[in-house]
Amino acid sequence: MNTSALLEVRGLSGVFHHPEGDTPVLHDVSFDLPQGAITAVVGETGSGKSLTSLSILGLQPPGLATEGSIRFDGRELMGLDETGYRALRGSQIAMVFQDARASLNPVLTVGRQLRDVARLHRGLSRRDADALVEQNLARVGIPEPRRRMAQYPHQFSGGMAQRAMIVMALLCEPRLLLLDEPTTGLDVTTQADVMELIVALTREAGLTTCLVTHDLGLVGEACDRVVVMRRGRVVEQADAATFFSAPATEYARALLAANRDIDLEVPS
Amino acid sequence: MTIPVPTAPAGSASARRKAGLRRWWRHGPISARLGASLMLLLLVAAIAGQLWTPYDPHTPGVGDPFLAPDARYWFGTDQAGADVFSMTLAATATDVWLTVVAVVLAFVLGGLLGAVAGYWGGWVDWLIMRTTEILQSFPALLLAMLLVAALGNGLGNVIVVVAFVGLPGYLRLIRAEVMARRGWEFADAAIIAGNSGAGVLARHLVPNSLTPLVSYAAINAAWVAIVVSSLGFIGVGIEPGSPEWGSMIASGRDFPDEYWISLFPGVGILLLSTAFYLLGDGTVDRDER
Amino acid sequence: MTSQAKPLLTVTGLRTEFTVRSRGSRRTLRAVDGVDLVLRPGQTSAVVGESGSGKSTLARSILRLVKPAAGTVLVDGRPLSAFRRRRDIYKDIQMVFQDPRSSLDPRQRVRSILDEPMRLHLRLSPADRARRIRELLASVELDEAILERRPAALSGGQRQRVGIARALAVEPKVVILDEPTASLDASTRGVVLDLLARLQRENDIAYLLISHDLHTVRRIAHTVAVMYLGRVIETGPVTEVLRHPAHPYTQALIDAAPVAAHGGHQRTIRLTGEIPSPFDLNPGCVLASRCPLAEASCTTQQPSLVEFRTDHLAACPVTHRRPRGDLGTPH
Repeated sequence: MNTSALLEVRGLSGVFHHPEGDTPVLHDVSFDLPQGAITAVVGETGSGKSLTSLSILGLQPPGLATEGSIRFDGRELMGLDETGYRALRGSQIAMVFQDARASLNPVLTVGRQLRDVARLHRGLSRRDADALVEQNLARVGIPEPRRRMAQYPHQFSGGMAQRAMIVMALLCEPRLLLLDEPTTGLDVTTQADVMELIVALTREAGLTTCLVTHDLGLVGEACDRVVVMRRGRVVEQADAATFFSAPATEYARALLAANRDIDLEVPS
Repeated sequence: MTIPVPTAPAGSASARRKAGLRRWWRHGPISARLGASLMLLLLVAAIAGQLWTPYDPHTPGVGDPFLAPDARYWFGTDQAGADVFSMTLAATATDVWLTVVAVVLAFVLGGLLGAVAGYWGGWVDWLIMRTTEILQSFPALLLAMLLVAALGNGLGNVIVVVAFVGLPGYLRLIRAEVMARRGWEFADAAIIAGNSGAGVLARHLVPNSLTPLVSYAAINAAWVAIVVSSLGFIGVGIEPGSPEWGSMIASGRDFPDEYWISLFPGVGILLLSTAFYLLGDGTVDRDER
Repeated sequence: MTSQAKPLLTVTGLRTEFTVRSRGSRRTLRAVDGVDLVLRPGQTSAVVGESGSGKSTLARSILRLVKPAAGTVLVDGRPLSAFRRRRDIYKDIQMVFQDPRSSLDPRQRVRSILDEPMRLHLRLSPADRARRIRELLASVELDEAILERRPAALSGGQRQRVGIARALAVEPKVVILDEPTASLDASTRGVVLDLLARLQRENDIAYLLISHDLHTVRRIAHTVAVMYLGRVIETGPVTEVLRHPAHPYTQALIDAAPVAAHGGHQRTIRLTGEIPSPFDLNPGCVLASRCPLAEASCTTQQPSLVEFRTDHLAACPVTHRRPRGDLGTPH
């Protein structure tokens, strides 16, 4: 496995401008997303983890001024114009958001939306695109994919919609997959299934993946590297094995403790 | 052990409100500031018009008829030789007062009925909504004219009719707001805190549903100002002879060359509706939290 | 295990139905289908389930925010139906809501939020109420400076403390905790749970904890009932149920719970498919369509709760036949 970084974030700072003054929200954020690995960016509310991931795609909210460097495959992304980002989004870097049903267009069938992506990104015929979509939906565990393709987003459960979004992201064959809280709001059993699916698919495709989450519990099962953010700063980054066995900071220890009140796996 | 009873610092609430107003003035949208200034100007004019006018607005022949505006008669004189400036100023109070009272009445009644319909639903809602729909199926201005004609002239009747015709807008708005919030957790929390249904509605749901209503009121007031003067224009409503912008415009319509007889009361209507409109626009942007 | 003190809350055969009209036909959905619960002073009983399990409807039915179709609820031995007005029951039974952002009136200041239940439920003078507000703040470890603030000006943890203080203001006997930490960050979560546990010890309150999160349940509950599609499918002491789950669904929940450790853990039971529509349930076990252990009889006969060990009941005849109720998969 190539261990060089596909994405390098260096000295990323962000400031919100408002009439009453400026609020700094990101301070000198630096981390790498190693090629082919799953990296988790973990933080609580206000840690800046989501702003960081949005900045990678050039989707900063209005009023946020960022500076620093974000290099994707050696190419500087900061200062890229909208056309440049558009060429990147989807085909090079795909993103899956928290609320899948809100990310889907409610007036088009799920099949239509997936087919459009397949045709746009792969130049397939309508028939071939449909076949590919069906095959991929089956692969992510959606039963009766043909029937499901004719349905609208509101007829999908949260878990199924999230699976469909993952299919959409993968249809673009991106090099980097950003997942922003992909399982928040899903039921526990569904959440576990979706996480397993994400891990299996990204490993299979050798995808470089960035998992943005508040839930350290998810991270343990999935990732290779952990980046912990707090109040706009990276406070710790390490290999997953090292992080979970010997977290370096007090904050990381507290976060881990909150998720370890119970050892559910009690040997009987 | 004695425990000092904490008392709220006197005037803290009003002080807070004052500070809030100041902040709103400083950071609020320009449209609201403009609307508020205009409104203030009109209120000053309304009060001034009751205390002092250059000439008696009710007396014809203070000058020659059809004098163009000049230094003596700022807005000129009408066909009877009455001073248009004095009449316009005196009429400000009537139009502003009518508009404000009608709007407040529509706001309170519509708000009350709409809140009740939205909270209790069922047949109460059905009855209120069907009645509203019947009301709204008539063109509003026509309905107002018919009702005033039926009830007879008079300031009170105009207010009641205009309020009645404007009421469905408030009713529908607050009904939708209350219905949406009825399912919110704080409505359940209010029940568990010991409120009766009316308590939940009055203490929690209605106060949280008023913001869009306030904005609507300002926009509705612009409409009311025009309806009031329209009624005056066609000669129903206010007793003839009492100064009112609409009836002043009407009296000038036969004299197209003497534009000033209609123009200045027309500007009054425009200013009043604009003031309310800008205020409404400003409150939409206003962040309550 | 359970103390034999007089129960503060007894729920028997509670059933809540919703009627949905679609295409002219009326269909009835049993959101809560015959649930029994007993809650004793100083004890916490948890109700665990995923969305659609009916756990929230159960809480709302106990509080009469929705009207149950059948069953009785006794608070301190007194049936809720004996209360003259619905609002009088909230003197004894209170609730902490899931999301304090939406359960606190955004226009009310903290002082008024805390004062309201006392003003409406208790006959206290304004001075007594003011004193009690300060006691409440101290007990939930909040500073008096926040009294004049509105909810939006508070942090998530502060807001939930206000929600807890509001519930405790009338000194209730029973408090329903509806996902009390679901909206909080991980680092705040533990502190709030510790606070709840301390307040329980100090006031001998009985908690009914509604949660989907086994970490929370394990941390503060004494007994647990697992719900799936409106029915309790397993119940017993928390440690017992979590260590030796006797129902495949409970095992699946435990397997799916995120664990902050590298590599996670093995899943012994994997449910297939989606939760079935509550309208077309088969007459048998509610889990049968997704259960890897299901047998032919599971789809026809509705299993009832059977005792596996002392106080530990589960509704699964398949595991019951196995020695020690084993789920048949090695740990």
